Formats: sequence, C-alpha cells, structure tokens
Amino acid sequence: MPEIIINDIPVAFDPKGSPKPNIMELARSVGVEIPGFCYHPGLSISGNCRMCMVEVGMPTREKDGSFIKDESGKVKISFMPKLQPACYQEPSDGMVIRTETEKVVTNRKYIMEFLLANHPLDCPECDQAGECALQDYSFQYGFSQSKFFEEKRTYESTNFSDVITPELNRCIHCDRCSRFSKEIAKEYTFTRTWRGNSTELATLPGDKITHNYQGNMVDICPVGALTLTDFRFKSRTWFLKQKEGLCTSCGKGCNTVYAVNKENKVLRIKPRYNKDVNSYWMCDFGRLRYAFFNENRRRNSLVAGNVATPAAATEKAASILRQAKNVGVIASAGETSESLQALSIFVKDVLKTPHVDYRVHTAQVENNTSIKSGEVLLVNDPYPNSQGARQLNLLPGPNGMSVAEMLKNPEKLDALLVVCDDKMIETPDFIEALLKAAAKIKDVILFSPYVTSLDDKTSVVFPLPSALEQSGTFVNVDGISQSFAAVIEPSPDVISVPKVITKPMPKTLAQTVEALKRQMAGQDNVKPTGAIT
Amino acid sequence: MAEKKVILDHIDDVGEQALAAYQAHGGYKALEKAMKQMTPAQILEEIKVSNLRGRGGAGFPAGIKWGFINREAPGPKYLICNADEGEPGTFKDRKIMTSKPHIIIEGMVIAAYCMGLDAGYIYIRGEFYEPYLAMDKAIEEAYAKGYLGKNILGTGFNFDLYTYLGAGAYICGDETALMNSLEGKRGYPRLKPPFPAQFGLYGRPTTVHNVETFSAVAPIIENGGKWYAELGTPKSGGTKLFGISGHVEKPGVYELNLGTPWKEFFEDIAGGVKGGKKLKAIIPGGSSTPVLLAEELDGMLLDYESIQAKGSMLGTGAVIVFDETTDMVKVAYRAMKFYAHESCGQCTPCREGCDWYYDIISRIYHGEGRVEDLDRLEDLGKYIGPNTICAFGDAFVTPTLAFIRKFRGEFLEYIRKGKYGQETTGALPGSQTKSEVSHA
Repeated sequence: MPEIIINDIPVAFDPKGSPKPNIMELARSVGVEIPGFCYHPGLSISGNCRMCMVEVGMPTREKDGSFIKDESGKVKISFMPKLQPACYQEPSDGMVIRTETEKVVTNRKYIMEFLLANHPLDCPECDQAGECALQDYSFQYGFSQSKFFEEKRTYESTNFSDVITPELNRCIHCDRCSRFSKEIAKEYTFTRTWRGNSTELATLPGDKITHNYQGNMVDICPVGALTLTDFRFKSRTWFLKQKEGLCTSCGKGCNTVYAVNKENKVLRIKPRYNKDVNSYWMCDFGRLRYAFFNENRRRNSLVAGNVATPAAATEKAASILRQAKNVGVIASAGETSESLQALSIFVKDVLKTPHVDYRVHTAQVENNTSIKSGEVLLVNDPYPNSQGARQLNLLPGPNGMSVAEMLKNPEKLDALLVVCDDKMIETPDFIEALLKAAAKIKDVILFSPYVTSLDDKTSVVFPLPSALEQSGTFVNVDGISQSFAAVIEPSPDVISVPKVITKPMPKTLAQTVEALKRQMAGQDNVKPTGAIT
Repeated sequence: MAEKKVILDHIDDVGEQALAAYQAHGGYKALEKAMKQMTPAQILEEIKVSNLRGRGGAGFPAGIKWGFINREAPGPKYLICNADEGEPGTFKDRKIMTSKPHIIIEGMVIAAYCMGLDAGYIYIRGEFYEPYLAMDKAIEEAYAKGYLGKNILGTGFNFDLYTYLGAGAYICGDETALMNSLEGKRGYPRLKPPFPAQFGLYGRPTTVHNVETFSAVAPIIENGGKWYAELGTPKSGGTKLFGISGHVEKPGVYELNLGTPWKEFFEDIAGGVKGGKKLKAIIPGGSSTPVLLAEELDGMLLDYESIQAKGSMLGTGAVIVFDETTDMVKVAYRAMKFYAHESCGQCTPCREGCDWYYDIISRIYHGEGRVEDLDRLEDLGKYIGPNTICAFGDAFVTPTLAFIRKFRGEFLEYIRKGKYGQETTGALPGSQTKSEVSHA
C-alpha cells in the first residue's frame, strides 16, 4: 500500500478508498490533530477556513526516476512554497507532511487572528463556550492580544428557524451549516448571501428552514453562531454529564449522547457517530423529545388507585393472574430485548396465554421498516425495538388476539396486562380505546414509567424505568442489535418488568430468565464507535 | 512605429460589427482555412509556434493550454470566453466585443474545432450590456451563415455558442468562479487541482480564454504562427492591446507589438502626460499589478518578462497613468475600497483581511492613521496572499503594499497631519504572543 509520512510517522493509505483519503483524516488516524473549522467528515470539502494549512513535500527525483539523496543518504524532499489545506490535499505515495513546524503554527496564529477579528468574543454568555472550536484553538494558537483595532462587523438580528436561534455576529463563515442543509437535508433555501466581509447566512426572503435535521446544524457549527433554541441559556455545558445511549424515538436507533444535569434530568441530546446507523446525524424529532425522560414520571406502585408497596402490588398482581382464565398481554416494543425475553417466557410458560402482541402502531402491524417520506433517518415505526419483539415472537399464538382484537373484544378477557410507554401516551386514540376496553375487563395490570389517565382504572400499576433508565439491547429497523447502558441511574422506586414477573414464576424459570439475559448480552451487538463533535 | 493592428484592424470602420463588413476585410477566411485545409494537430502547432500567451492577466501559453484537452475523451467538452472584463483600468475586451465581435466568434470556432469541443459560452460581465447585445447579434449572424451550429462549413463539425451575462462580480473573472456562476451557483473560486482541462464546466474538460486571446486566433491561422510570433519578443509572441487611461494626453486602446519600448508607447503614441505635467507613476496592467515609479520605467519594454523584471506584471495591459499631482494615498484608498467590495468572502484570509486592509487605509486617508498601521498592513499581508483559494488575496495585498513601500512618505504625511500624528509611537500594539507574556 502507498504510504505518506506525517511528522515522521509513516501512514499507509488506500488511494481508492471511500471516502477519498485526505491528509486530515490520515493524520487523525495516527493521533496527529490538525486544527480545522470548515472540515467535517460527513460533508463535502469546502477548504474555506484555511486553518488546516500544512507543509506538503514530495521526494525529489532525477530525470531517470531515481530519488535525489542528500549527503547523509536521505531522500531530498521538496516542499511546496505555499502551505496546503490538509482537508483537501490528497495523499500520494512518498508525500511528506509537516503539521507542527514554525511556519505552520505561525500561519495558524494569523488565521486565528483573521477569524477573531470580527468575532464578538462574548464567550461568557455564549452557549457554545466549553465546547467551542474557536475557543479551543484560540487558547492553543491565538495571540494574547488582538491586532484588530477597527469596528467589528455586526449583523442585524435575524430568525430563519424555529429550532435554531442564530447569533450571526459569532459566525466564522465555515459554511458547514449550509452545506449540511443542501447535502444531507436536501433543502436549498438556506445559504450564504451577500459577499465578502458582509457575507451572511440567510434563507431566501420570507423563507424558513423547515427540515427535521436542523439540530445537526447547531452541532456542527464550530462556534456559537447557531444555538439550539431549546437548550439556550439552560446550562453551562461543563456542568453536564455526557452519557452515551440510543435515541428511542423511532425504530432507527440513532446513536446519541445525552447531556444530563446534576438532578438527573436530560437537557440535551446530540448524535454520536455510527457509520451503519445514523452517520453523524439525528433528527430534531428525536432530539427534542426528551421531556418524557424528565417529567410526569410514575414513582410508586398502585393497587386499586391507592399507593402500595411494590411487594403488595406484586402480590395483588400475582393473585389476579393466578385466578384469571383468559389473560391478554400488550407488550411494549419500547422495552429492551432482555425485558421482552423475560415477558415472552412468562407469557408462554407461566400464563400460557395466546393473547399477546406488541403491535400497537400500524407500522408495526405492517412490519414497515422504511424511512418516512421526505426524511433522512426518521422511520415509520415509532418504536425502538419492534424488530427485537418480532424476533422474540411476542405475537398472538393459535387463536390468540392481536392488540387491535383485544381492544375490540375486551369481554373475552378477564385480565389484561399492559406495558405502557411514551409512544402509547402520545397516541390519544390508543389510550382512549384502552380506557374503553379496561372498563369491560375485570382486572387491568399496568406497567408504566409515566403517570397516565389509566392509573385509577386499573387494579395494579407498577412504576417502570424510563427508556433511559434501562440497559440492554434494541434491534433497529435494519436488524442491527445495539446494546446500551443506562443513561440515568434508575430511581430506587422503579421496578422493571422482569423483576415483577419473576416473582410468580417457579424458581427454575426465574433462573432461566437470568441465564438468557446473560446470553443475550453477549450476542452480536454493534458496539457504538467513537463520537466526533 | 510599433503600433500594429492585428485585432484592431479596421475596428473603427462604420458597420464593422456587421458580418458583411467583417467579411469585406477577410473575416472568416481563417475559419475556412482551418477547417478545410488544416488538421486539428496542425492548428495546435500553429498556435504553439505563434507563442500566443493568455491575455487575461496570467499570461499562460495558449498552445500548452489547448494541448491539455484530450479531444478523444468521450462526453461533452466546453469552451469558455472570459469576457468578465472587471480589472480596474481595463477596457480592451469591451472594444473588441462592441466593434468586432466576429473576430471572437471566429477564434472560438477554430479553437473548438482544434480541441474537439461541443459548445461554447461567452461570459460577459453584468455591466457590459452593449457588448452583450453586440455579441448576441453577431452570434445570430454567424448561425445564419453557418459559422455556428450543426455541420459548420459542411465539415460535419458542430459547435453551439451562447452568451451569458454575469451579475456584476469581479471575482467571476477567475475562471473557476466564472464556471460556478455559469452553472448557476455562487461565484466562488474552486479549490485547485483539478484544473478546468480535467474538471471544468459541469465537471467536464473545459478551456477558458480571455476575449483578446480568442481574437488573436483567426489572424494567427490566416497569417501563420511564425508571422505572429515575430511581431513580439522571442518569449511573448504577437501583439497586445493596451488600454491607457488616467493622466495621459491620448487615452484609449492601442495595439502594440509585444516588446515595444514603454517610452515609445507613452511619449510617441499616447502623447505623454496630460497637460505637459511630470509623470509620477503608472500601474502597468490593471489595479492588481504593483505600481511602478516614473524612474523605474527607464528602458522598460512592454512584454511579460520586462515588466516582471521591474517587479510588476503586464497583467491585462491596462496602463493607468498618474501625474505629479496625484495623491497616492487616495489612489490606494480607492483601489482598496474596490477590493473590499469585491472579495467573494469564501475563504478566511481574504474575507476578513480585505475589509481589515480597507479599514486601516480608510482611517489613514481620513486622518485617523498611526505609523504602526503601515507595519500592520505589511505584517498581515504575509498571511493573506499565500493562504487564499484564488489569486484575489495577492491581487489586493501586493499592489497595496507597493503603494505603501513606494510612497511611504505620502502615507506618513497623512498620519502626521491626522488625529494621532503627535502621539504616534511606532510601537505595534497587539504583537505580543503568549510565549512573550511573562506570568512569573
């Protein structure tokens, strides 16, 4: 394989590789960080910030093709008189790159000076502070005093989005955001307008950005020019714990990072790179749908609408299930495969009922795994683990009823066990149908992470951990299994489905469940790969 | 007399822009000759022999450029005529377009035939409305006569030609920005490589030439490359249009043999400084070329090499004359105002540097300058030109610094008379680096 040398480190590369190899990535692969603002591995190369300029040299050759060597026998390298952008420079065999010479570092200092000339330096009140490339590189390369004594450029305040709050005075014109809009979200209304030093990001007059991926533009903005309206002034970023997890808002299973504050509340969700699932991106729907993890949580068990101890609730549930002849089970594809496996065993070996189903949404009924029309990532199936439930065969047995049939014919059941989730609560029609059915069923046992309008219509309610308090595995619409750890430590009050249902089982069965859990954890999980901000 | 009319021949004849008048003086004979008597290889050879260099400013040899195109490569290939004549001081292409448009068309068809190109575009600057109408009319005439379109002169060669009116951006004179603009995108210069011969308009092989370069093609084919080369110097063949303006007795467009002595052109042909005043300085090739002092012009010849030896460039051949009364600070200020307005804003050093330069020079001009401002411009300049995507960075830094270096006294005078004249220390604030700051 051909090779280049970066700061004396040899790096092999595949000239036909995809994406096309560039010096920036090759350097990164051997731990050499070249600073840059406009370069983003998920976007086309623009080469406009000029921060990543490095020295590029090639071995010198005689006319016959042999290398010219100096006295010590080393091949003489001829460096280009001008520095070259590492993001755009393609490697070629024998190329020599220098990224830390005085020439390169001084150049960076001056590029920083140009970028900072018109930047307001309002870090104390900027949301980006703490995770700002301009701040970091300024610390590393900036002069301690500005050379700029002129009036700074300012823009009139503008608004081109309901998701983003722009602060364009901070903009360094790297063009990541408008490239994202065009290349990934395929929306062309947002672009650079005017020219020269008056260049300004804007939409066409009277237009707004409407796509469902605007949060990514905030993420990739290397400065605080685009801020997330939702997160604005909520917290200094350095007070937040960054926890890796999965987005649970649809069947895609985008890899994410949850920013959690000291009160264990989620304040922000950002995507995390996974080349097989979501690349660098996530949708705004998933990003902004985190209130469920923070609010309206159920913290205690109920028996007949009254607060009860978990033990009392479990005892009551067990007695209902022992007496009931026809039990229906509505499972939730928002649960992990581990939890669903336990439920599956419980349903088939303990309850021995054919009336079990997870298909609450039409997309689940149709097993629709496709992306929603006009979307990049968001899929039709709103559940994170429908494929897991399907693999575990949580479907009606012989003569069993589906979810729709159970709700239509409640009189055929004496007890209904419902695992409720955020998606069901978001679907008022379903809740209404469930309420109607519950009125006709003797006992309803509800598992729910949230307070619901069903609570006092049921015999027993168990407080479940939220999607972020679970750890386990989701299988996404493309059949990719992804394991994850709990983002938030489960509150001691909550009690998981397997914990409840192992209680009325014979001991051996409970042990089987435990063994299965361990076995599943070792399955072919796609390990989340490192994140790039 | 070294004035030689090749392109400008009969240019002021009444009705010359009409096809009939062009043909009355032998127009389109070269096209017939090229297509009926010569092979593409022979045409290319004549262009190489002619020593024709690009007339848009950079002076790249045309024969070599034509040789970059692989005429056998499958798929469409394009020809572009750069008529975005935006360089301040330049007005030669406008003259050709309005008065002799057919010479451009004839040159383009020959070039397209030689390189096997399918379609051509004439990218005309937004402000050139009359030249645009003249070109459109000429193209219509050429189509009617079968010099454009399908099966040109019965040879089976097809070539379509279109005009495109730009939106008035100087940067679109850069060939890659021009192509982006032509494609309907923002007029931003592209990163290079790849160069247009491999990846040009719509990603296809493309040759771009200035109006004047195409205008020389037909005469070269008609009279031979050797004839053309011998009009100029051994390294720069042929004639060149010079547009002289400013404090000169007879401003206008002149066609001269390359290598004509400056003195002969200025004194004998253009009539010297207006009103008999003393010459102070000239800009030799458009506002992006560094200014030359009157005393530097002794013995200078008007060709690429000789002007380069004096530290400037032939550029577009747009000579701007300054007499002894000229305020050079105001010249620098006005030129910088133009560049600050025209920077495209794509890359950092130019977008930020251009306005920064303008702000400083504007302050000096308006009496708020400090001595250290001049050092600041020198200091920043080192990191603008080499870092920009296109040549624009150099195009404003080099001439501005030339003004400051050659007329430092005038700048200092402005500063002394200004607001901070008495308190200027000469120390450069903001030059400390972190390593210089002691926290001990």
